[in-house]
Amino acid sequence: MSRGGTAGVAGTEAMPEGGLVEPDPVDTGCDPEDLPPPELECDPFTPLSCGSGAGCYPFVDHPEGSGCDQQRYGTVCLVAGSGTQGELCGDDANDWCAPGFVCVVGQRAGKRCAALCELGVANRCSGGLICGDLDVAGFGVCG
Amino acid sequence: MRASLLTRGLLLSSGGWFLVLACGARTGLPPGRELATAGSEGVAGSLIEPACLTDLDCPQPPPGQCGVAACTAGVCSLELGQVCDDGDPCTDDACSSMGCTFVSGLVDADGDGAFATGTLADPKAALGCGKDCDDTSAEIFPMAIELCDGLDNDCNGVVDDGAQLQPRAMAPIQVSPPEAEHAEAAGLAFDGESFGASMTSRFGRSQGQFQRLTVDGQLIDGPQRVARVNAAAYGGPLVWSGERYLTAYQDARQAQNYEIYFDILNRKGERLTQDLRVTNAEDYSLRPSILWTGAEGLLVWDDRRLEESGGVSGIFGQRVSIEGKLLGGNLPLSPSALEAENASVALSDSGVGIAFVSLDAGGTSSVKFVTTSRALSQPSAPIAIDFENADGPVVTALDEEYVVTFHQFDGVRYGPAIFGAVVGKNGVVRAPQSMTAGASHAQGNATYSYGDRFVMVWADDKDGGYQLYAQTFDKRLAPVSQRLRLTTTMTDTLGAALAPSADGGLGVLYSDMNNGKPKTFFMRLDCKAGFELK
Repeated sequence: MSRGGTAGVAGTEAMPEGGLVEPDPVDTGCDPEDLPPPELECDPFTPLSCGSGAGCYPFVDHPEGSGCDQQRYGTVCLVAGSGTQGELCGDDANDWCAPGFVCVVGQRAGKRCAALCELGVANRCSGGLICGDLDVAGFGVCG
Repeated sequence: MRASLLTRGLLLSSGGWFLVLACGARTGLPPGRELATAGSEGVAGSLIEPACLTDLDCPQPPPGQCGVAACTAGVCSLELGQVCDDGDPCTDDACSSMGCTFVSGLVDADGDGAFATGTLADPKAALGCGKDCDDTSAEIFPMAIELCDGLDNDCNGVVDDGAQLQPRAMAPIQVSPPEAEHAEAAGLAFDGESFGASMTSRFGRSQGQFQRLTVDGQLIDGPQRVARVNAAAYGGPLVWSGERYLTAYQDARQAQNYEIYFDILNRKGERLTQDLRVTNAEDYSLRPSILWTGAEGLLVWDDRRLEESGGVSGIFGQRVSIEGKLLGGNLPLSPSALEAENASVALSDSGVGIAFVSLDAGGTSSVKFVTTSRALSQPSAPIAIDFENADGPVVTALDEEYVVTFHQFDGVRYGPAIFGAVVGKNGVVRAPQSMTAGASHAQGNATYSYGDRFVMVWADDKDGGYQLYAQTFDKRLAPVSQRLRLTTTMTDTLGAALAPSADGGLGVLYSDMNNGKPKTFFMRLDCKAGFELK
């Protein structure tokens, strides 16, 4: 961290009287962009919104790019899995979660199915679980 | 760093060995040398070296006794004189050119009006000359007010006796901006003047924010956004280096997954460096913890880089400089074959303690513990804390031992209590025990160590819905305070972060879950002296 005008000096400098020279704040970042509208193919809270044998699942696609791109998110119909709350899940179709559940990381060790829940309403999760935020806007999971 | 003490009464001579004279004792010549008597002859064929060349080569009078040591023609002699001892342990007795001197040894180096326990020669000696148990601090003396600071302020031999933490009588202060859709507490630190609070706020997408607070929790200016990206970014833990805040967090700005980033902030929460990317790994890198060693920052997180090649998640670490540079590369801290996540770290005098959750082949979780050096090198073999479905570990350093506190979660239900286990400095784990009671479910905890005891804040539903509670425990996990209720909200409160303030109290940052749209709040615990444990 170099201070402007003092090339080769890292970090802070001591002023003669012993005080610290405060570096200038860094004010860089991405130009803000509005959140894109969600791509909603179905409603995870409406049973059979994807038809028989399929479930409606929230998704998020993270950007690859330069660091200022946005995520895409929404809901998509996929072949229904069978995993329920707390069960291990993965990318393999055989490890997928049942309708009403979504495969998450970070709630508990491992990738786990967690029940979808609505944010902003009285908690309907059981077992001492509460409805908490997911990184897909508008959806929560019991955890 | 402890200064070595020169024990009163013994001196090391220039030869590296010490002499204590008594009647009939040897003269104490260096080994291999003999005192040649006048007229003696050496054994035929051997050379007898002179016993001395100067007076200083000869045994000297013992401390506190006058005498004259002399070297004459290579022969030592010692004429002993008066023993200088007035019988008063609180005077410094010595022999000078004027003979014996007896000088008052009382000292009050910190100027607080109380003499040190020892004398000028050794102020910390337990001679009973004075009663000031710490003559380096003007805040410590007999009859001083005992504070919640891990010190024996009143010199009665007991640390923080009677001192208790009590919730301040004040309405909790909302820290998160009202316009945020929701905001969860992420970290709290104290910079000597004010608190810094970190949170994850959502305005459509998540972003990490920093809010400066007075010691009483009042907002100073508005929140600062940490990472300025257009993808989900989270607030992370905060530490104060003495000059700067250090923080680490996960965000999804690139590489199609979450990576760990690091920033240095000033007191206002303004970034002083460009965001430093810490990880460049396949799959998610999550949940960073951060420590400040006094010289550099240590980051620890969980990482799935090995899963792409058929491996499992693991715990990794990274050293960072105060200038915001990576020091070396990412370091594996858990065995590659052990599925490990959700690490907590603590710094002790002997190194770094790390607790994390590991999964067995059946997906059942348990907690394991490793130690490393302060450079995150040489991780020990994991020590198992034998408790099924243990999760959410928090590690606390207490002198040379560690305490690991955790909840129980099988994926469907939280257990009824917070549990704790002590890991001794020899790596032996004492059997885990329940530390809380009376609830159906308990989850999450945060701790602050005072060295010989620690405060734990946790959430359980003993009083209906999750509320926050606090209690102080000693190194054996026995409670040394009452259980205190901290929150009385209509909805669940969780996710506390703690930081000490300069007055001996604690700041508490937490999330009021508000039916799935959490808000971040701040409250104070104040240190009160003189309460009795009931």
